[in-house]
Amino acid sequence: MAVAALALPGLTVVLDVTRGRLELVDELLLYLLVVVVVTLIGGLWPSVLAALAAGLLLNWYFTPPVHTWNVDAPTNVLALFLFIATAVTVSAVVHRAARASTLAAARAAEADVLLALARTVLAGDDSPQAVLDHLHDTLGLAARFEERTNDGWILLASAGEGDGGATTRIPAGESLRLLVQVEPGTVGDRVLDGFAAQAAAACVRHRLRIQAEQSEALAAANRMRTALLAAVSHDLRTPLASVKASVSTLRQRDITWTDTDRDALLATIEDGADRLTALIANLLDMSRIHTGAVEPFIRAVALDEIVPLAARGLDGAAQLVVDVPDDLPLVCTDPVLLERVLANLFANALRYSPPGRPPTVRAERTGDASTVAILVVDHGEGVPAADRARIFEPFQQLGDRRPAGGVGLGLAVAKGFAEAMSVHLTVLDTAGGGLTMQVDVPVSRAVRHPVRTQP
Amino acid sequence: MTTVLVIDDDSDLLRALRINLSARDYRVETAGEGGAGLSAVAREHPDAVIVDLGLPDMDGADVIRGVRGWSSVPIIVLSARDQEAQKVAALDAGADDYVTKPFGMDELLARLRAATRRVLPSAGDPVIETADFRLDLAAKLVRLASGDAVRLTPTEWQLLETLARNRGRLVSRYQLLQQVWGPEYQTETHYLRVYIAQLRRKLEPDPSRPRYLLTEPGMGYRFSD
Repeated sequence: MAVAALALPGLTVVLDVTRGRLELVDELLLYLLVVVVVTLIGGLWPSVLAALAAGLLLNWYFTPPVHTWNVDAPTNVLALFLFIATAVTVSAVVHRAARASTLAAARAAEADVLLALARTVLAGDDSPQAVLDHLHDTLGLAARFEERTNDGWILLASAGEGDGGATTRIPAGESLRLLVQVEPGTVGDRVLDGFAAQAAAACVRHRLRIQAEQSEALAAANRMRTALLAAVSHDLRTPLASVKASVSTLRQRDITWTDTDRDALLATIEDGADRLTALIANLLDMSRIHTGAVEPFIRAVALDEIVPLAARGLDGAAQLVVDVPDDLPLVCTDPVLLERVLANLFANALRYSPPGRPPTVRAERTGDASTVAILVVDHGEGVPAADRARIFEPFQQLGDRRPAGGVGLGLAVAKGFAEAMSVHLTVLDTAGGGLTMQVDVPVSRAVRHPVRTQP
Repeated sequence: MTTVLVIDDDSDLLRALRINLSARDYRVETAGEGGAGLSAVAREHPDAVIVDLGLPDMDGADVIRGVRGWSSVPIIVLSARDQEAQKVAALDAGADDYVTKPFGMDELLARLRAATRRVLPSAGDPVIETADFRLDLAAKLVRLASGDAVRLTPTEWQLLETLARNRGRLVSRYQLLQQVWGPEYQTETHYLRVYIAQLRRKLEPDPSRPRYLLTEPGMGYRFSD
């Protein structure tokens, strides 16, 4: 309007001054130009007004007789009417084109926003929160994403601080909705619909991912349980087989067994019972560790008293070379748990030692004198560095093809008890091949040095 | 003297088996690993092999296949694996029977006797007497203890005869179908269930608790007398 109000009088003044130099046709075209400019800037109705005003101005100033509303020549009357008709038509066409291009630009902007949103989601930032953050960053609007539950709507994600102004609600499916703090209709519906749909889809995908992870974990646990069951059933049945074979042999009345045979069969039964006892002890220990039922009773104890207890009753314990001096400082630990840790490490070392090269047990003070290291050294095949972490997991020796009836629980129990006492258990290489297990036990602060008897 | 080779990595079990089998006049050879077991089969030419499936150096099924490559010596599997699929795999590899650990010595001895017994020549020992019926293989006649003759269809008779000629031994489903119905019926195991049920109704004093025609789940059937 302002343009029309300025441009039309301005043009009239200029043409009034230059009167006589231009034909009426040129003056008409100049007014038409102004009307088109007004259309581009002001839209349809200002341009129609401008066209009518221009017609009146032309009539008053430039059609003879000038300065009257009369027009002498009929051709000029026709020219004036044609001018107004042309001006209005051209403004309508120009207005429509301008509106179409504005709309296209708006659509392009919306498309850009949605494309950027899709990129964000595809780039891996796939959560309702990321979608809302993107909305807040690109459009500068506060938004909330909510889900309907039995207790009403609950917030899943939000971005930006709302100030209590008008809110647009966009439903996304039956139970999800996006709330954007903006007057309804000010932002393209398409854009907000896009954000709502993406947020809902991200929410569903997020939940599916969680479910997939959970079912993968369940499947792994299931495989583990199946393998565990197979291993336990094998390990329970093997000693039971020799017990039952021996007992059913002794019960057969058709043969009189010699004393030697009878003793050997009884020894087999006892041996089987011992193996079952050890396995069941480890199974119970493992379930205590898993249920967190281990409560260490830490006190000052002497290592040279625990080590022989730990070796007692193990297969081939006599071969174990023990070097634990009796003048080591007392250590701070739970003697019962430490005994189970060491017994399992000894059993493992004995199992994997080649004939003629028995494992050794050594205890020595570490550099800073705050701990005593117990080293269980074997000269077996060792374990590649990559598999070191795995050997402490239960039932690593799955199946029944195992050397010398290893249960696959011992190291897991050792590790579990060591962790329960906050004692470090580390795996090292033995120089020349084999595995060394190092247990670091803290020295007791109360009695740092053993009491020396006076000579 | 019958030689038995036991391949098992459990030294306690080897000791118990050696004592029992030696007392029963078997010559007992033992091996703690599959490889040693295979060379013992070649060296000792045992009359029966008892093999564990979980051996430290190789799987027992591979030992069975290794033996079957050149020998038809009876093989009894002795294993803690009790899944049907594992039993079928061992039998398919060529084992003759399967005993699950833990086992009673009487059962193992009975299986061993059955495995080492020569297959009956068709003319010899044609009569099998049990407490409930008398089976005359030569005359193709079955009489109950009461003296009544039992009427059997030709298929029922063939099935009963196949089991009776292998009495005490496990006869696999595969073997029964092949011998009674023919090679194209190898997978029709429901035929077996139907005909075994008919035989039990005609011969067993209590068909729901069979004494003579025993099912070995997943493996086959056994005639026990």
